[in-house]
Amino acid sequence: MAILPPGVSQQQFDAAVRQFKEAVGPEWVFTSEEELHPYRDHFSYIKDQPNELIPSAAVGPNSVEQVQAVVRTANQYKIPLYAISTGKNFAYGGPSPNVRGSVTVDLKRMNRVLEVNDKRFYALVEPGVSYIDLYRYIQDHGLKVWVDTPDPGWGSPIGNSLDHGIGYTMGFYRDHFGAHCGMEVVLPNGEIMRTGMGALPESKSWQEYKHGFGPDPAGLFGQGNFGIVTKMGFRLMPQPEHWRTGAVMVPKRQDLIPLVDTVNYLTDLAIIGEPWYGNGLTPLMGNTEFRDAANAFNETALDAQAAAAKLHSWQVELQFYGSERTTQSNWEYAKELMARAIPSARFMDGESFKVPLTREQISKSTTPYRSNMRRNITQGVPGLGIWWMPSRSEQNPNAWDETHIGLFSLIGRSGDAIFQAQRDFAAVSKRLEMPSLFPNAIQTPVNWYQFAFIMGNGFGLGRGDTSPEGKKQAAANLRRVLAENAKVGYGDYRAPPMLQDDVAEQYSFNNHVLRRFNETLKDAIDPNGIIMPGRAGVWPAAYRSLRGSLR
Amino acid sequence: MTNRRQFIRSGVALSVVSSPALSAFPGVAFATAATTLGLEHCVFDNRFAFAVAVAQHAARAGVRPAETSGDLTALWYDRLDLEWTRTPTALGGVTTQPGLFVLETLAADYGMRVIYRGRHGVPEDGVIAHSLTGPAALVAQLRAGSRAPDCARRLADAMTQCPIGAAAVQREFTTPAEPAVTHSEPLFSWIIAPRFAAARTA
Repeated sequence: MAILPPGVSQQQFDAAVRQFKEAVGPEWVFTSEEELHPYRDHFSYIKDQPNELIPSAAVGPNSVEQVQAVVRTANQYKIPLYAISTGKNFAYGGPSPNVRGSVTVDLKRMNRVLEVNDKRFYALVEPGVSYIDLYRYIQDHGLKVWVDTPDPGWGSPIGNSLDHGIGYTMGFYRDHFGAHCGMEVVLPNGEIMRTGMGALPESKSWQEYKHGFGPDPAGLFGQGNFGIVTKMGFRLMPQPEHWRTGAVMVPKRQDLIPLVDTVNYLTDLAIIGEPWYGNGLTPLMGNTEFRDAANAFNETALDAQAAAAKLHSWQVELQFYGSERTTQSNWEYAKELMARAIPSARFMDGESFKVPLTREQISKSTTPYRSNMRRNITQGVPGLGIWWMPSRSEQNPNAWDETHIGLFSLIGRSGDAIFQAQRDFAAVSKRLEMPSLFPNAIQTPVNWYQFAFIMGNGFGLGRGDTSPEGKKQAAANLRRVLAENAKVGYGDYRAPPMLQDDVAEQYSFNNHVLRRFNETLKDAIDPNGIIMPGRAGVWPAAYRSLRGSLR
Repeated sequence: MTNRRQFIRSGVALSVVSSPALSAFPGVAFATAATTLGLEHCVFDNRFAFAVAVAQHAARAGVRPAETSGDLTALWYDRLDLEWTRTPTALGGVTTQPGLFVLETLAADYGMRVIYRGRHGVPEDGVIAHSLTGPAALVAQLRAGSRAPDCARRLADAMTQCPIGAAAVQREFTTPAEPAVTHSEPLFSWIIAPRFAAARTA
């Protein structure tokens, strides 16, 4: 199944491959189908289809100089490149490029941890360093800092943050791109640029002040295609002395509003780490009367059923980092605020541990309430355990409808906004004749980003049909949901390559002025359009005709 | 007494193969003297009696057991990540599908892939459906003995005698479900090895 980059002849491609081999060594250039197997997205809805997004080749540089040489060759032959770190961004496309036939630049060999400073709390890493690698480095050197890790932790800080990935500890650190500080980039013309204080030679604060001087282009590289990042700095959370948890339960549906208001206050004062919201009525899911009430958003009936079953309507798990005393005080303060806002709120102490937790403490919850927290990530410990979900592979394609197929949309950060989003998502499901997996009335958001709520929707669109036609229909369904969501103000924060044009389409203010702005910059900075064309819906002139081509 | 695993490993030589992993360390080749693959570990999911039994039998053949309860984090972090950074080595296992998925994905970074894969369905009406893809001799060995008792021992024997460089076949068949075999989700037996350890599939 050998393919060529679009618009490139076999002769040109062969010449480019020879130059790639000269640049990185022949053993690090891959062109055979077997060698390119790891660079396919095995979760793709168009897997094995004629338009599957697969590369024509992959190259593995191990230095910035080699990356520069690869970029120069790509410019010479007008070959689109697609850079990956560890290539494990599954369900968001993994290693697959936006343009079929691109050459994948696999940065895994650039895997040095350049510096970790546990007095000034930062790290500087190369793209091939995974969260597990960085964690191991920190442990091996006895440093008192944490990584804020996504789940699973086999991705890289650079790759994850550049795709606006998130974590689970204190607010500032959960926004992985926001927590970056300084980067080094190979530009489309092959030059090296450093952002922030890195633009000042001999700077002593590259990983401490990210703005530098003047306009800061760092944002162009987040979900962007303006260069290949070869180094990136990150602020790291100091290792706390103690970790404490507690749960707040509220009886009535409308109590969610003051509950969220109070949690927001605690979050933005940096008193709590990530809150974990949950609905208390899931034990009633097998009850037809409950489901009917939930599907009808019948608040009176829901409150009555909650009371009859002696269940709370909502709960939030709070976590506190600090000393034993400060975490206790903060928990007491949180309870005081909650009680003022919701006199009928109940509280349960969770756990209280000296940090670092032991493996046994991480693996087993001893809370007196049902906890939804995945504990390793609250401790900055990267893991692989989340793959308890059936995982798609070539041999088990039927698992695809049970994993990460859905959308994560930004909603407002309030109880009212949650209620509105529940109704809006239910209405979209009904309008498109695509039933939700569960009643939207019991949905809760995630607070991955400190100042934003994200809520999932569109799951279960596959309906178990794993045929090529079924997958095509599922992708079409997702596109319809994206379009409908945009009409009522919900946009997605991340997407796999095959949906990036559709998500970009949502951000249509003033005739897509944001996209037009980015593409004006793209054409100026990357005139041949060789760096990840199409990423996040930003298409260079040379490939603009491909916009929407996967629909 | 030299066991089979020691004999095979004594034939191991280091050399760069044509498809090295994208880690700092190139792939590993085995000396041509070896005809069967030496497994470094047998990964088993201790939640399933069948997996435990296979690992026990493999241990008698000199293959080190590597226990997991489904979450592979500790196995990866404490053992495989460190070992494969030095020298990628072949391993076999009996796990759930997620367990295989995680290891298969990580192995790809080290120039390795699954060269044998067996899906063993949930016992139904006293029968288990199997779908095996791998070296013809291994698959034939398992299929030939499909009516014989002690399937865990037979599977361990076949996996620890996996031939190198053999062409792959796929076969499906059923076996009677032994009383001790009661898994409630499909289990997967597998071997992960450097790519050259399997012949190119047709």
